[in-house]
Amino acid sequence: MKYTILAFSENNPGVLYRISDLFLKRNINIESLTVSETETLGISRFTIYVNVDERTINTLTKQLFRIIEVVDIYYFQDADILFKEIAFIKLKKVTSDKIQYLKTIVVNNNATIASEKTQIVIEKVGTEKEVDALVKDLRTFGIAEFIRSGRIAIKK
Amino acid sequence: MKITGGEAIMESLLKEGVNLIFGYPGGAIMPSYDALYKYKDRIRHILVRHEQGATHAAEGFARVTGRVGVCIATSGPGATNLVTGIADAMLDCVPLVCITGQVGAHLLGSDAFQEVDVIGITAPITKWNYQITRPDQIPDIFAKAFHIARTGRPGPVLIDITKNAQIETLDFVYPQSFDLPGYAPTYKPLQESIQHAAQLINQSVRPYILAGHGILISQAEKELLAMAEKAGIPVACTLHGLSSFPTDHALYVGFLGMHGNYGPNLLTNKADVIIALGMRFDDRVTGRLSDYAKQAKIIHIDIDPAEIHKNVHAHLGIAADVKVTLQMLLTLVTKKTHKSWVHQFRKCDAQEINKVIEKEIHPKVGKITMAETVQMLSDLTAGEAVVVADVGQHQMVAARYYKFKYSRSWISSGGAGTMGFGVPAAIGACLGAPGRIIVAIVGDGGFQMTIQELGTIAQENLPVKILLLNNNFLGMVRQWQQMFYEKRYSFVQLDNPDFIHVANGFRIPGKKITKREELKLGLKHLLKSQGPFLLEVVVGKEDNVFPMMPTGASVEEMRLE
Ligand SMILES: Cc1ncc(C[n+]2csc(CCOP(=O)(O)OP(=O)(O)O)c2C)c(N)n1
Repeated sequence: MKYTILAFSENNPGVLYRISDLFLKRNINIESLTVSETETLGISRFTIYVNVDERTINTLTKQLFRIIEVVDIYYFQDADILFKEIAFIKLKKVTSDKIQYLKTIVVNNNATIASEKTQIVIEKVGTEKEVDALVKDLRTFGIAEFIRSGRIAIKK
Repeated sequence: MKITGGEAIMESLLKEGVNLIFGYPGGAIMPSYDALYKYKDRIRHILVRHEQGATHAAEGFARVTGRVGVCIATSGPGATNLVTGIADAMLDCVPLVCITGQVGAHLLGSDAFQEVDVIGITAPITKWNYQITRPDQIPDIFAKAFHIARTGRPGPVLIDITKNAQIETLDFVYPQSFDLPGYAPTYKPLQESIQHAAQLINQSVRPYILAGHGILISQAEKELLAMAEKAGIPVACTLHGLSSFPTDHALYVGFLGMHGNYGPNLLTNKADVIIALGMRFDDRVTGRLSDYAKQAKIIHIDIDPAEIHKNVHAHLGIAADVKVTLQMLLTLVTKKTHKSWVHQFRKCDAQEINKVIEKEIHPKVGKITMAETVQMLSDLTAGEAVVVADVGQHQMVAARYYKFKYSRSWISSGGAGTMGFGVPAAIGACLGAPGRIIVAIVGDGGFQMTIQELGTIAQENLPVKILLLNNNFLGMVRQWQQMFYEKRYSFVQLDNPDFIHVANGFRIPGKKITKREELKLGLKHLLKSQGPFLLEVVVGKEDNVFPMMPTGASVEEMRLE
């Protein structure tokens, strides 16, 4: 089962370490992790996307809450949250005869061309599924580099 | 008035009521040791022989007193030597504050001499840790550290202090309050949970209390006794719950776990309501989880919410202080007795006595047994000693056969099972409970892991009574090799030194006992000696500890032989 954990914590240097260690300890792979500021000064927000069973998420979040600096913790399934990530896909050399085809793909995927300076970079904001679909479509052009931010999420 | 960071550490310790610390000096902590020199009439420092000893001594002190144990070490190897003891304290919920020196703030991350990332290393094994790089942080961080270590589910806290922060000065003001927005342990349970619990208990026919370390930590011994007596509920103790309930009480049924008593384990699967008090359903207690107490409604009371439903699903989980919870529950439970249920435990006892206990404590022939030694020690001390055990067969035998009369009388490494714990922990216990007899029961393997602490005992002239049960084997591992690895004794035999000579070398008197006829006199000698004493008892080499619940077996598959 996939869960999104939202952990709010005091902004101390050791917290990220302690959070990631709890996943390490259980040999759980974190699918994505983003850390950002919040509306409250000094409080950071960790968005952690993981694939675990229900029992594990229950104990795991309680153990995360045990970290002294963590002030609040929630976990959700996708239906309860708005979530998105941002991705950049840099393509290998695109020959001029394929540009038109590329543009159709970009439009169809609701993405944009962010740069054409030396290589074409496509930017996409969307769910992991949407990003995956775009990446699949772009494979034929040859992907030089790909980065995705991991999800950020907010409760509906 | 300005004082140095090192002095601020000492002032903070005094504000926290600390007048005893265990430590070992070195480069990065020297400014604090220099400050300590000025405070040595107010803070007693015990110079251990290895930093691991400092942590275990601090644990022994904490467990016998219920107060925070403090240890101090230098950076690098000094700090890494603390690691085993910190991990031990984490698993056993022992409140410690460990102070480590660190290289100067300007050198952090440069691989300077004796720089080790102790914050990183200890993050997974501390309840909290913090690196201080400025002297003005000291009062606030110390206040938080002590608060965190001793409240809620207690545990070790580490404070790493860069050298400059110990040297530079500050205006020392100890905070009255501090801000920990993410930390607020819940002590009081919800009234509806209490009503629900009382209802379950009042309706039950075969209720059963499992008493854990939480009883001792929250000082709920009286409440436990009152609860058991009012509702007529049999009480079993986990390894760390031992001594929280009088062993001679009619409702006491024994010790839970892999080498615990027969009835308490077996009948777990017959109870209809299990009341788990300040315990965490460790795998050594539950055996195979899929067959653990499936018939019972489980009421799990523990201060740590993360323990509820972790290993065993609770019918009713109450994340609160066990003392407060019992106080509230007591008013709602009805007076009852469960004679035939308690009798079932006694029937199991009879089987255990017949198959195991009798021949262990009254052997007619063969070598001295561990059990008869502990039994005799128990009789000679009238169950009044503080028993500090190391790890292995002797530990299980001590837990099984010592008849604890008073609370906080059993100190041992449970969660981690740290060999080498016994002797240094006894040092801490001895300093924490000067009026009591402290007996360290150790095996020949574990004794040698921290044997250098005999030097500490001698230097401080601490009346620690060491009872060495020598089987010339790493007995517990040998037992497993015998039972589960077809007697392939892979590297468990020890070529031991002359322990009495070793003790004498440390200026500690000792005596070796090999014959049954000498045992009683030897134990009397041990107990009567003024200062420290080592009594070595040579026991059967290949004796085994029974009953036993093999790993992966269910509580019902407890073996008597
Ligand atoms: C530091 C450490 N290393 C290894 C072990 C594994 N271990 C558990 S019990 C035991 C044997 C202990 O032997 P001894 O101290 O002689 O006690 P006995 O079992 O013979 O009473 C060992 C090696 C451990 N618990 N701790």
